[in-house]
Amino acid sequence: MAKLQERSLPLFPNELPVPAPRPVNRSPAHISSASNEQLWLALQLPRLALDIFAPSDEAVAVVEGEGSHRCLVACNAPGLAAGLYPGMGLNAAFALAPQLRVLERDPDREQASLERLAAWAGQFTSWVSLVLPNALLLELKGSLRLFGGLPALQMRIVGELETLGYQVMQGLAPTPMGALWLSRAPGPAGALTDTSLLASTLGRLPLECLGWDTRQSEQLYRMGVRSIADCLRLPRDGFARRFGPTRLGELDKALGRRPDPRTGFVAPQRFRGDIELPAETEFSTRLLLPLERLVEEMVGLLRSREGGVDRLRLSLLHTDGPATRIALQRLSLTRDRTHLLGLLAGRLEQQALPAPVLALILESGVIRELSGPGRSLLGEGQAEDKRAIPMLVERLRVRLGDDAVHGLCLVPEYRPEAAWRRGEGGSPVGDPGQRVARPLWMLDTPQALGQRNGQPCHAGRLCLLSGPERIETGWWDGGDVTRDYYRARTTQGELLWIFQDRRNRDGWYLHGIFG
Amino acid sequence: MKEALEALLHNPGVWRGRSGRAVPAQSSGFAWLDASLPGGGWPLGALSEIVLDCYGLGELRLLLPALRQRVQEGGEQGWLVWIAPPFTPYAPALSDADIDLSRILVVHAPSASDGLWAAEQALRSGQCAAVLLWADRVPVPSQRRLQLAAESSSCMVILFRPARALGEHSVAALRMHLSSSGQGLRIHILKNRGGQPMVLDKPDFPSP
Repeated sequence: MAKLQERSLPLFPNELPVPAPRPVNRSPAHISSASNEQLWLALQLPRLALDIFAPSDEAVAVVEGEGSHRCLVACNAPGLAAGLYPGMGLNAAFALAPQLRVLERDPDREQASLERLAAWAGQFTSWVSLVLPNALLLELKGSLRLFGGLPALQMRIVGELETLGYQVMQGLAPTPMGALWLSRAPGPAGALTDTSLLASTLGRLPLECLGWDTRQSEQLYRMGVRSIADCLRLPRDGFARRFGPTRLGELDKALGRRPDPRTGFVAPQRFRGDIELPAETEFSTRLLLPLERLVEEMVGLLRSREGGVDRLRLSLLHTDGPATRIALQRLSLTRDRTHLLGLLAGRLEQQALPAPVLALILESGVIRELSGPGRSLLGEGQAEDKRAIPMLVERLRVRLGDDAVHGLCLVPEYRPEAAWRRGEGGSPVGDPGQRVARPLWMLDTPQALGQRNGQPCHAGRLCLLSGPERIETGWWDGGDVTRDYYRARTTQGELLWIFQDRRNRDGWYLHGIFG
Repeated sequence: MKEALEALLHNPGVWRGRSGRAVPAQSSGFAWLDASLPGGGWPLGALSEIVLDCYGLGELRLLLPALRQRVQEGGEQGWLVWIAPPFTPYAPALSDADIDLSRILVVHAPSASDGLWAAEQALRSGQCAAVLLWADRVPVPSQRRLQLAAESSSCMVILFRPARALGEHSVAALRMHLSSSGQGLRIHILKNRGGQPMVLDKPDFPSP
């Protein structure tokens, strides 16, 4: 088919016939896009300028330009419903939607966001490439088996991106350039997996899919070129003279006639993501949705690096005053989305906000390799059960404090208060010594009892039921005790464990309760 | 008239006593208590409330046989969580009662709402055999949350409350009041989904 096109009549009769394409010098260092072994998914984010902000229910538009040339770059669904469209002048937009919230375009944050998504996409393939200003290229051939085939993988990637809050257009082709063109095509997503169909499928695309600047597009249009097929029919050297060898190269790359090496994106060592709210808020519940998106993006990065994090910092930026910071430290290394989100949301809920919040920044510590359960891609679900209790403990500790959660261990000791200690749940608990009847409740420190006629009392007279059990020990560490323990019943029916301090015959104390 | 009555009885909001539905339960280990409880023991996956006049009446001893069995049978998912206990659960005594200490978690909560939150977290973790919670003030919405979390699990969920809670509304499936009759333990079953309220006097309740 390619040959047929090359032999077709040149548009300009005075042009010489097109020479056959030169043999391509295939360098082994680059992955040649002409080989049949690649499949590129291009993800185009047409609304990135708007999508970097948290979603809003009110009409929001991103604008750029100076003075009277300020116009809309993108607007959200309520804005579209009000009759706004990208490219519209700001004054006209205000006439239609007086309540319109206007956000300034921020190319730096758009790029940062695109890089975060590239890192996120690393969980699906090891080959992700950035196409500025707003597209990603993913080589999928190597990942098809792991993710259960092309349709499943494609649906998952695009579905998750949309859940994150990005509008996506996709294109699939054996060459990166072809995939990019297809992703810009209007209508349903083109999926092209067969190299032999490259020229015919791409040929049907309109010129806009090339993504060239307006001047060149207009020039082509004036020449009567309407589709890419028309473009391919033009004589090569004339085309190169008019539009430059780079543009000709692009056509060749798209058709797989020339290699198209792409720089792989290298995921960062730690995560840093920010998200700006379209309108400041003083309610921490409003922060949960943007927070979820940041955590999701981070977890994607963690998956792609096969690692986990053990510290996180969430900063809430205010209109004025210093940022509120929430730090989570000494976590057990994890990349569990629900767990991390639960920890952050738990702390956020407790956090008093000194001023309305404008933006959120989530930063992680250095990503470290995750070993043991939870590491393997397939075993993540199975490992979850085993980690449920450590994760519960962590969640409780983050909200209630490190000392608030503990297990129980035995200590071989005669002094009742020293016969146990706090432990970590699930760890060995020590050997039970000889069995002696002890109360189920202990007081942390013995409580002095009142006395009447030399007899101990506690809300009335105490009736001694059994005893004494003498405990006399601990002289070696200075905490020596000499006590006679009794079981006693109060008039209310409570069963208590009390003792008389033998070094001070008058002292009666309550030490335990038979719960 | 009969049709109207039938329609009313089929309304899911209407609950009929002794409907004969099997209620999942854990035998309490005391035959006389099991006989008075609808499923033949402590309800599972539902909230039980124990109102206490004071501590030391035998409130834990009443639970121990059931807790022991829940922990033993639970295996990996047999965690026993104590939330906001009024005193320290004493490890030697628990070990003496054959409760596996390595499956115990004690959680201290600074406020009642923290305790309720912790109980909900524990119930939703799916790893617990039983959750014991001590709380003074539990507004009805929080009780409902707790009840919902209990329903999502198959746990024994016991909420201990002081005597002043007696007058308050409770959504618990089982509600009992422990007091001393002078001779010994008196268990007043106030609310018993699928059973009847009753008073049990146990002067010979096993002493520790």
